[in-house]
Amino acid sequence: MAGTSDWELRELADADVPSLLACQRASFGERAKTAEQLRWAAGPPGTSQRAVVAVRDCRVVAACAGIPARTWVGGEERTCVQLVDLMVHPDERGGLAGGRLYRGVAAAFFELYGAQGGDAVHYGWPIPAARRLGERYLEYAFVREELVLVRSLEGELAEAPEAVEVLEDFGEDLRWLWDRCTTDFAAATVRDAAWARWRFLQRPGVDYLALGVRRGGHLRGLAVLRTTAWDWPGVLPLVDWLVPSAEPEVADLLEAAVARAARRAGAERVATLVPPTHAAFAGLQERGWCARPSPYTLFLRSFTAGIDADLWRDGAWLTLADTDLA
Amino acid sequence: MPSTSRASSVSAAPVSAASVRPLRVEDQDALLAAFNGCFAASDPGFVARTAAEWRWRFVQNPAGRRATLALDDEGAVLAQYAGLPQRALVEGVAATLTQGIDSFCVPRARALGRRGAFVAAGERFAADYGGAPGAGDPWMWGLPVRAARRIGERALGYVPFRAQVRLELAGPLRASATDLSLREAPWSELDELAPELDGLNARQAERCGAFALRDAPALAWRYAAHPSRRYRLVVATRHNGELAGFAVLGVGRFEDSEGLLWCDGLHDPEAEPALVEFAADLAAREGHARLVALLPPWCESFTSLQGLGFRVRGGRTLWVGRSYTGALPLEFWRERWFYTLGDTDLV
Repeated sequence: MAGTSDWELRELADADVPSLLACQRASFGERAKTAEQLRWAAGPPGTSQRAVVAVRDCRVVAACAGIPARTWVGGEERTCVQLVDLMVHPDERGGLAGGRLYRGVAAAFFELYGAQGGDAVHYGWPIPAARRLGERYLEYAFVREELVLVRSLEGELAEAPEAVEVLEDFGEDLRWLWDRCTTDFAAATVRDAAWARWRFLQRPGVDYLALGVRRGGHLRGLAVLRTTAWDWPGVLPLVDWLVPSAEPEVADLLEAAVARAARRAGAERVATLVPPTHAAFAGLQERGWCARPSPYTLFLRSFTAGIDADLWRDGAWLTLADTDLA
Repeated sequence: MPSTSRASSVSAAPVSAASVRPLRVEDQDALLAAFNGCFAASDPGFVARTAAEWRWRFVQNPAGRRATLALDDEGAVLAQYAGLPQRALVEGVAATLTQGIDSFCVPRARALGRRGAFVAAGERFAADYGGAPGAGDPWMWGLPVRAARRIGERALGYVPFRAQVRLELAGPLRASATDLSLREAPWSELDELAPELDGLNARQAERCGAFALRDAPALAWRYAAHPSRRYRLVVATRHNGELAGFAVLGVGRFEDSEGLLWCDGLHDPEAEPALVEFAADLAAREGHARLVALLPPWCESFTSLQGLGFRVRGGRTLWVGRSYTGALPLEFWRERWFYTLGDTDLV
């Protein structure tokens, strides 16, 4: 990979990890990843690491990393990547050189994994400063401002439905459920047992409660609540929601169980993210959830004709489970 | 920015613009012929623009005229880049904001991959009309069709900033008791209401960073004088006769929703439930399936209307904008600019 006389750009190697973690700590402070979190963020089974570093004098001075996901899009399975950590060490920021380093490490990432590597799209919810740089220099395409759905847990809640069970693990029937839901999606991360174990059972430092409805031995709906405290005080996020839109009675059961579980965990409200064009966005509002503006704006960089921001906006199924935000 | 027509391909070499200049009133006939021909070719449902509608938009607008033409060497119209200006308050300062509308390029002047007549007109439009308050229009915005958006992003500085969401009331209203008086008022009453409308505008200016003025001249032009649509004015007054708010209602379609449209309005917070209740009753009496409104997600009413029973619906239209002053970047407009359906030319 290219670089300059100042720094070398290359894929992250095991030997770079200590220095990358130091760069994370310098860049993000207490939000920096641990070694364990970094390993987890390499992605679920069936995917491979997406991380480029800029190294000078054996020291990581900038990095761009993403979380890959097997994604059903355009009638086939492709890899799509959520960009999570694009950073320049604070000592290297400022001036033309800092900007060149930022753009250089991002461009190398896009070239290696997108243009050459075959990833369909890279997407993310950048902070405003990164968003401006991305739009100006890195071909980020605007998808939408995210609206979150929020439900107050004040007042009387429906009884916890007995038909809802806590899922201690995930089996083949998750993929069966996901397959049934794909008629509603133009694009979505493949939700199977391996992905769900990685996402909800193996994420370091964060606990989730997975709730399911089974009928005839098959999983008919899934809701996953984060139970570890979140960034928003008093709020627990409903991280994932997978219910066929033609089965509102399953949605009723799961939604009531989520509210009960969130209150039991001490939350005053629950919040979630589903695409505004999807039936679930309307359905949750009918169950008492209200749409609120959020600080998140979704952007995308496409490497595939026809799989672009318009498709993502119109039909990609994205929940908080597709992000590292919750 | 919106409604730009660029359908069909061109086999011959495109015609270049011999001149690019601001629209003049005497361009009416040539412009309308080109406009109607262009949109009719790409939209089977297109209804030809009449001279009365054109004059309402480009001659009678009290905020002025914003339009640039590209012409060939015989004076025929090749392209238009146009907008609807609105008088506004931006951070308390008088300014003009412009919605891009009615822009088009005739097929023989389209230049794939090159700077064509459309871009030439758009660049001149931006140079002539864009600028910081006092020097030009600080914010130009629109809802372009996909093809036009792509040209605009590539060549004319369009920045997408919002995917459309609308508010719909299709079920029962959760209204509260009110001690306000509600009535439908004739448009002829606008002059009498003028001082109190000014008061409502002043209070609205405290709630947002930028908005188009809803004063008597603006409402008279936008709604009372509209050449083809009919709107209804509803006013809410306190017991002392003071105006607490107004709403403008019309029947029509917005995106996938047909019903009674909440086109416009300004109100003090306590007037909102009463105005909505009046509109919902009217919708029910006249057999409309829903009441539809458009508001920016950051504003208080976006939340409070949901409390009254409205639901948010996602749409596919993308809003684009271009800020002409570094002092008011895109984030300002995205987070502080107030608008309603009536700010657009869609209703």
